[in-house]
Amino acid sequence: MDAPVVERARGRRWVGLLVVGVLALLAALALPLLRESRARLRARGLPEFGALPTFRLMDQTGRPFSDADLRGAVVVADFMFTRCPTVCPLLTAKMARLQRQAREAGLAVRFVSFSVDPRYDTPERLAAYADTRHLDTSNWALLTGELEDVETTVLEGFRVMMGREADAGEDDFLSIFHGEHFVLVDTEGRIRGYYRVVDDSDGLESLQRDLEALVHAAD
Amino acid sequence: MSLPSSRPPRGIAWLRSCVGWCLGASSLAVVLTLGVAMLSAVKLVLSEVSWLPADTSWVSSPLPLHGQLPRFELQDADGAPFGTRQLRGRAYVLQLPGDEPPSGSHAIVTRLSSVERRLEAERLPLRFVVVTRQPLDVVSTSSPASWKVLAEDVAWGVKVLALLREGVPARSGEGGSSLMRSTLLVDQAGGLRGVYDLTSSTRAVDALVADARQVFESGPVPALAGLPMAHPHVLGVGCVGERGRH
Repeated sequence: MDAPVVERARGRRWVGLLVVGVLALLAALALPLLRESRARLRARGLPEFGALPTFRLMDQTGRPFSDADLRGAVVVADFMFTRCPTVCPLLTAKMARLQRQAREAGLAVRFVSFSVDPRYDTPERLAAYADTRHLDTSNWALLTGELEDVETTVLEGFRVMMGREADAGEDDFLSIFHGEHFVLVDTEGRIRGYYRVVDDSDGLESLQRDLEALVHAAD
Repeated sequence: MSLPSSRPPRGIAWLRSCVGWCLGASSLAVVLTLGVAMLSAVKLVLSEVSWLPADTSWVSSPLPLHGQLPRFELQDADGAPFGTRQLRGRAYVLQLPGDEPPSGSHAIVTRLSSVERRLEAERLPLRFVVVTRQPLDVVSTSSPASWKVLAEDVAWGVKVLALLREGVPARSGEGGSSLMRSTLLVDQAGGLRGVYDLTSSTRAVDALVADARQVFESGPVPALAGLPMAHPHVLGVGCVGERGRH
């Protein structure tokens, strides 16, 4: 075979390799775009239930914590109290599971738990509650404050139930009732979903999907 | 004399051949991977099933939220303040004052009593609050003891009228006096969930009872995901324990 023919064959081989490389690069770039567009579509389809309420409360360290601390982040909120003997430990366990899964998936999500028994749940008691249950408080705040402020935030802001049976004493913690939902808030501070996560419902799975979509849509 | 060969040394040729084979194999792998990826993408696009993950199923509360009732703190017959602060966490029926003479308010009291009896029969403990411009002692005497009778505050009435005009389009064409004799259904979070004219017909009483039942069961949450399949309504009031809800 003469030299020009060999050179042409070599040239074609390199062009082929270049084409394959470019295609591989395009595919590598397209896959995240595909994932992002899927997330955007899914996030766009989520309903809107109003704005994250403005509030000024305290976290488990006693530091002031307000709605401003959550702006720009996808947030999952729940409502509990440390003396609750029934559903709250379950809600906290589900929240911890959700936090772990979000971390493993590399999703930047903030978690907040509002105490619906704020007169009893001091920051110290919330910190002890977090400590006993080995909660990771790096992106999970447990909030308390004045009863009036908490009620305004939870009831009028999140539209989630909280209250106490009429004429119940302060020590009668079984008289406290509250909504058992997880609430999803997007990076724009809009409430995007209420999820039932107790019993065998698929609310937790729905919440996982929707929060993943909100995080990717915000990327 | 022999000419120097143009062929590369044998070792280099072997190395080139190895590199060529490796590149060829890699290219083939990349092409195959791309092919599989493209096929998957085409399959997703052409699939009749949505290429998005399954949508979240929402169960919405059938009662619309007409807005947040303006906060109030009015005085009862004893001069004690009572208002939204004391009613938080509880659904209630709120009777607005209207321009009725005492005889007209008697008709409303009769209808409201009928609503209360029916709700009690269903063990639905809603509170009843009557705002009046009549003398409080007169209205309190003619009302059941369980009701809270409060004196009207004109400024608050104006805000309520604005909410009714803005939040309840179906009744926005009605005159202020007609709207201000309305009976309101307020949820546990202070949200306005229903507006009724009990003086118009007994069907308004039926509607109020049905909606009150719904609010009691659903709570203030507007919609919920994660309910069992075909669950009929939102469960928004919270957990049920040995002592009831808590």
